[in-house]
Amino acid sequence: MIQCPKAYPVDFLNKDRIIAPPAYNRWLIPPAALSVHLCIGQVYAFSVFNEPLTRVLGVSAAAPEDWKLSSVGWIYSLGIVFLGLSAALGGSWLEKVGPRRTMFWAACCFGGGFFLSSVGVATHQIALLYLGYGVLGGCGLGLGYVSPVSTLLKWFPDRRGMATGLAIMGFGGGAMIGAPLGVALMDYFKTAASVGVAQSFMVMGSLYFASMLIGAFAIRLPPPGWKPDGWTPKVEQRRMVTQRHVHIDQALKTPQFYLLWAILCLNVTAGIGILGQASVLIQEMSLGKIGAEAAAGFVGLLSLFNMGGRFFWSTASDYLGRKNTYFVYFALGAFLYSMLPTLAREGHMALFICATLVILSMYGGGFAAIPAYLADVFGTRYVGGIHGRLLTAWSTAGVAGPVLVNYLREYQIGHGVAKADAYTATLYIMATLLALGFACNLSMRELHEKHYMRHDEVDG
Amino acid sequence: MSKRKTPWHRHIPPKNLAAASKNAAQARRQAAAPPPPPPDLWREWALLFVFWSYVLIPLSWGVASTVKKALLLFK
Repeated sequence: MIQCPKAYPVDFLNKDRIIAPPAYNRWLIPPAALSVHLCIGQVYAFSVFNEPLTRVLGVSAAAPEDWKLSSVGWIYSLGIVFLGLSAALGGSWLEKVGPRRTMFWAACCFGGGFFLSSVGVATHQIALLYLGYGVLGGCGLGLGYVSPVSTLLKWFPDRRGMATGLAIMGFGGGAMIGAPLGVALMDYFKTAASVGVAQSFMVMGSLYFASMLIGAFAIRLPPPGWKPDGWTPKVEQRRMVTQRHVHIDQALKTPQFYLLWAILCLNVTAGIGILGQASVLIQEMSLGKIGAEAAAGFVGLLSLFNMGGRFFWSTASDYLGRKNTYFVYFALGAFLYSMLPTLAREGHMALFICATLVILSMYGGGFAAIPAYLADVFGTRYVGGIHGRLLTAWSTAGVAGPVLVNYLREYQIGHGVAKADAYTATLYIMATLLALGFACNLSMRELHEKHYMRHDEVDG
Repeated sequence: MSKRKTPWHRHIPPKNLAAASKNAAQARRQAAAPPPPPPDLWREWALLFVFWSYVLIPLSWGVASTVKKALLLFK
């Protein structure tokens, strides 16, 4: 029986109020998850506000008192850091109170973050943007990211990868909605005296708040012991797929958790190597054959493959097995990364572009298949909390990855390396990181018997 | 000497007798009750359509604008 703490007075948010009736259609759950992930995915598109934020006072051009790009860049970085922290801390709370309350607070934090940032832009106080979008919005991101994932895993025990892939694909798709929406709103609100960012933040905050609330009220938990019609867990399970459960705190005591942490961190760092620098990378490596406009097209194409890969690879992992799918990511990724400098040097730009698209699809796939990998190893009961703690790997890679790439590039240029060759060392380092990831995946073993909970300890 | 037959209800202990009569009454009630209504498929499909459209329409708009941008690469 699912127990709900009595200490929460607003009972329509309680875990026991969202148990679905027996014949509930499980295909109503992915749109609930998507309506949250499509909103929070906006974080990937925050860069559309960076340049306008540097001329809030000067409007047509930056005034001396305007914020510098380096100061504005911290808003996104803080958001990613707080995403990891809130997911890590909020994950165990999610297991206690259920997905609706968590999604409700995610909506309040993400929407509230936009409102506070809007005040920050209107009064020209960057601390309010750090606190608003960075801290508050980041908490909304973390809570919103983890809350529907474990629910989907419970509804789709037969297609874990596909279910989580659908939701996490929404996170990739969120950037595609957020970027044109932000640009359109700024165009609509801009005047001779304003860049229109404050008003855009207000509208986006309201839209995202409402949409996330719809997701929160549509989410349902399966009844205890529910299984899809006609599905029975295979008697002969694959060795790395368990039907038992591991407690969140116990999961942290296993080497498998840290191996998966390293796998996510290395995969994300390698992906950011291309994603963060895509426009400059292709212009410099093609020796000017590809201009700024076409480079923007390349960035758009990367986003499409990043989103599509989330669904494609995680669905494929249901058939290939999670461990094998990550073997493909790391082996193929390392090979393609090490080929990129040669392809660019020999002028095979079409092959260069295809290789980067495959790499980016696997970067997205790495995000999308990790909850299913966790559910296979640790069971579905506490997977939300365990996934939350694993997302600190994303924060680490999200901050360290771009710093590493930028530092390496500047170091090379500072030592007289030509701009076209400055990325060569970086790309080889990324290939090495993926080879390390391959080794971590190779070390993944079935959990020791002592880590699993007894049947009487599993309370829901 | 003729063998005396035990009355039928003596074979059943009183507690079980009560349970048996309760079960029989429940079975009669169930037989008399109308069958459960068939699932409202129209409502279910309408909900699915509305909810999936709600997420897929903005997503398609986002994808279309990204594809438009991506086409710049091939110009």
